[in-house]
Amino acid sequence: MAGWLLGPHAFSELVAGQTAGHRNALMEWSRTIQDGLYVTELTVAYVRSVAQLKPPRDRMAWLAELDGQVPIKFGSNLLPVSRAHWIRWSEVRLELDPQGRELSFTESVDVAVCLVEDFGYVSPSVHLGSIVQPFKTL
Amino acid sequence: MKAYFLYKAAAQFAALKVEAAEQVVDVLLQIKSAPDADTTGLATQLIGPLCTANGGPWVSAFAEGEEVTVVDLGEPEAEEAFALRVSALASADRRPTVGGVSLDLPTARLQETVRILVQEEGRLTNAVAAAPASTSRLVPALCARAHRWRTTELRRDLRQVLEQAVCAPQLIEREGRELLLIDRELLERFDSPLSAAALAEQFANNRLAPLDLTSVTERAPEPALQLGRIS
Repeated sequence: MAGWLLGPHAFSELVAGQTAGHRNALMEWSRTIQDGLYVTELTVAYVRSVAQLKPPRDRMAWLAELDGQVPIKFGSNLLPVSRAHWIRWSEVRLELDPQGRELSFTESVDVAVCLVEDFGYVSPSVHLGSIVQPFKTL
Repeated sequence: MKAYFLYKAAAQFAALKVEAAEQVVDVLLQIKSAPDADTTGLATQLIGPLCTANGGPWVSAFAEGEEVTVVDLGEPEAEEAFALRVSALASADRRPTVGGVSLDLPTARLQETVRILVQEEGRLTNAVAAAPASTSRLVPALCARAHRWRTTELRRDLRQVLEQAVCAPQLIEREGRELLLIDRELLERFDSPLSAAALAEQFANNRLAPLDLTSVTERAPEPALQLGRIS
């Protein structure tokens, strides 16, 4: 395994840091593993889109972190989605969740990236553990 | 005590941050001082897999008298598999190892020695050097991620180029040559990505308002072809 890919929930949990009264399980787990953490540019963009819904002050704080700090801190572990990923995505896109629904776009791309790059996946969507291994839910 | 490394373990050791490498050396040196350590040079003593303190690397090794062979510094394998592997290595006259270096050397020098030995071994066997992979992939990785600019665009948008260089490499095409512009800290991150623990520490002081991703539902993408609707 080459590392762990953070899904949108895990990535936003990591970047949010320590919020008063809120146990950051992702951060605690990150401190125990040796492998690297990766995130796709698509996931960052998705989290950025959700941050747009926050009140102005919170939105500016998130955008400053996502635009300014995340690229520097992740470095080469911030992954563009490449042609090899898209080809694999075309094969996994039609996977169904337990309710018979297709995977979300972001999750299906993440799954493809994991399969191509030999990453484990960190996500609360436990049904993805049947497609990607290893799998971590927090 | 002298240390030998299997090739993969040697590359792992050379790539560790100095603090983590020191933890590994501490574990190996404790073998010598362990009261039940065998010093006859005849028996093979399995070491680990042991996890170093504060989430440092795992150490899998075996000792033979005053020599220790480091098998792996990554995720530990099953006990039986590890024992079988050690048995095979210990029984061989020639082993796929580098080293024979004293653990009394300063850690940074020890790492550099191991790194050079791995490179030399790679040249000898014409194999891909086991030096940290990021070194050989750094330039292609940077260029693949870089936004390309022509000099005419650079003159017009210099401020934007400089701002973007903080977050991503910028490649400037000038008279048939390519100039790479990148923030120094970002370059270091490309060369040596942070471990998960170090990355977590980078964000630990953030106090951002949590995002509710469950409130934003994604629709599954529409099928690209609507068979039957094409007229």
